[in-house]
Amino acid sequence: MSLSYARLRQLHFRMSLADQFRGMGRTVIILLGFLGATGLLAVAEMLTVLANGLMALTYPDTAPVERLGVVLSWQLVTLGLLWSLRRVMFMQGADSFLSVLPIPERAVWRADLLIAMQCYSIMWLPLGWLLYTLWRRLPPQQALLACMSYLVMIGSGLVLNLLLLRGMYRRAGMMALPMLALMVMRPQSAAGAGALLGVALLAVIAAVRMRPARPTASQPAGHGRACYERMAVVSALVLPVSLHALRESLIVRGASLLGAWAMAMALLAGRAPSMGLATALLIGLSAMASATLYRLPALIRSTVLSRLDFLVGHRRFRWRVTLFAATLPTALFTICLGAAWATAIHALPVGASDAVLPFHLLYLYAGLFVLGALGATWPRDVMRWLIPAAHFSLTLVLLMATLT
Amino acid sequence: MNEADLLRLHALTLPFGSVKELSCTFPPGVHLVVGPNGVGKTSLLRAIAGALPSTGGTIQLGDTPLPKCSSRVVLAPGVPPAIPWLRAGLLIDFVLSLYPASRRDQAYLAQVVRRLHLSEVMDAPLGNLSAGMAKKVLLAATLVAAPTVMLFDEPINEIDADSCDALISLLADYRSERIILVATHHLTPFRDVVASTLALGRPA
Repeated sequence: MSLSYARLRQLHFRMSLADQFRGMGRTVIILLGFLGATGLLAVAEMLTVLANGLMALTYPDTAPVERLGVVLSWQLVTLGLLWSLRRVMFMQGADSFLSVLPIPERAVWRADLLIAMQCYSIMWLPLGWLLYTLWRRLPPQQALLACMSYLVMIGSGLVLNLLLLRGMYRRAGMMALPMLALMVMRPQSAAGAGALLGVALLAVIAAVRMRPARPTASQPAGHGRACYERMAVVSALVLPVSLHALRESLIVRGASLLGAWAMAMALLAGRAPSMGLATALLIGLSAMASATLYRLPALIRSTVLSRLDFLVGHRRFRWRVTLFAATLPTALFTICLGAAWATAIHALPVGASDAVLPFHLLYLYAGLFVLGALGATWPRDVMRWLIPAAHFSLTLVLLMATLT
Repeated sequence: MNEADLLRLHALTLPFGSVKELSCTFPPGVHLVVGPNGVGKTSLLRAIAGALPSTGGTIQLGDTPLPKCSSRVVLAPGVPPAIPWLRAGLLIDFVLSLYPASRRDQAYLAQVVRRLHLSEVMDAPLGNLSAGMAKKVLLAATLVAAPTVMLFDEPINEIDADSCDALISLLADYRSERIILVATHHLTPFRDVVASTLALGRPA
């Protein structure tokens, strides 16, 4: 019996998942027993929030910032889901063998799409609810247009996620365009659905016709390349190693920070300005920045040293790696704190001075970031949970104190 | 002979292989380190380069412990580093940037690149190169960095006969002023340049 590429991928996907979850059935049952109704409610709540968020795109009074937040949230949740399953989904373990076989690109894409749709799993629930609700609430013609728009959005988002995970960023940029149409148009209007469909078609054509980037052209050319290479040498290769070896980790961390900022924007748009909201935003965004970035210095340092292990004995090399591995995340963290401060200022009531905002919170989270960065270099298991627990408990206490 | 030019290992014990209480002295010249697989040849070179902590003993260059003068040692590893996206020329530039005091000039770099037949691949990422080409990139970086102690781990595995001849000829130019340790299973190509051979073996 012949085995097609799609069938091979499908078999690998099922067997890998079964292998990964082998023996976990009992654990899951015990966990569900402990969580009980609360756990189920939490999952149901998350799905309901997503479904309601998508539904809000059809309302005439939904602000563009909220629309942006909804589309970004959906995209980030689905990207996170696919990212967590990427090794199983793309059959990465067999990449080196499969890359030498004459497998048509079309077959790879078909398998990618089919398996990604399976990976969405419970994400189809809010979509099903959404389509059902649309048919109940809207006139048939508008419901049809809205359903079509949502399907185009979900499809474009799925392809966008796959392109991002496959490292095809230029094509992914094209597929992000249909999302922009939903920022300004309602999906049930003929103009909105038409614009979305048109942009999606154009994006697909452009993405298909776009020539894939050649491996040798992965670095900037000309003056840009010279500048990049100078920085690479000065930074003891921290810059290129971070951009290549830690690309996925950086994307996920960046997406988490952007997601937190999008949520903050949605809160800003949906609530009246107040001192409490401003402080809560400052706490939330600072905590997110610290919790997301504190492990990066240790991660970058260990990655560079392990990739260039033949130079580890060189003291100046080690010193430069340590310096730049700390500098880049610290610069990013400082920018994030600045953005948190600026966002909090926008949440203050009109006429209130930014002097009323508790600036010491920034020192607190900066201290936590430094502690976390130092703690991450200690080879102790306790640090794996101590710093996240410190972030969580401190943020919870501060938020409770602020909001009560 | 100047005492400051000697590489001294005293009662050196390594965590891997069977190097236990090893004491020896290497003057300038080409020295081969031979022995069966897994005996500790690579570990010995990595320990001298400071990339592998020893479990006992000392390594000194003259009177200075080697960790304090790490910029006087360079190691050409046997396996290319896992950085397939890095341009070959950039890797060489980077290694040379770590040895400002000893590195040779651009004319010598061009000569080494030409003799090792690397001119065509300097702009290619390491991942696009064959194993032999990637090995030669590391050899070129080491030869041009040229600090006092130059360590080569299996340098002639995977490389073609022409490049092997060129490498040995380039090493011969350094033998009066640099301490060169070569871990290898192939002794014949080095017979005209070798000053001594350290044979590592398993304890009986």
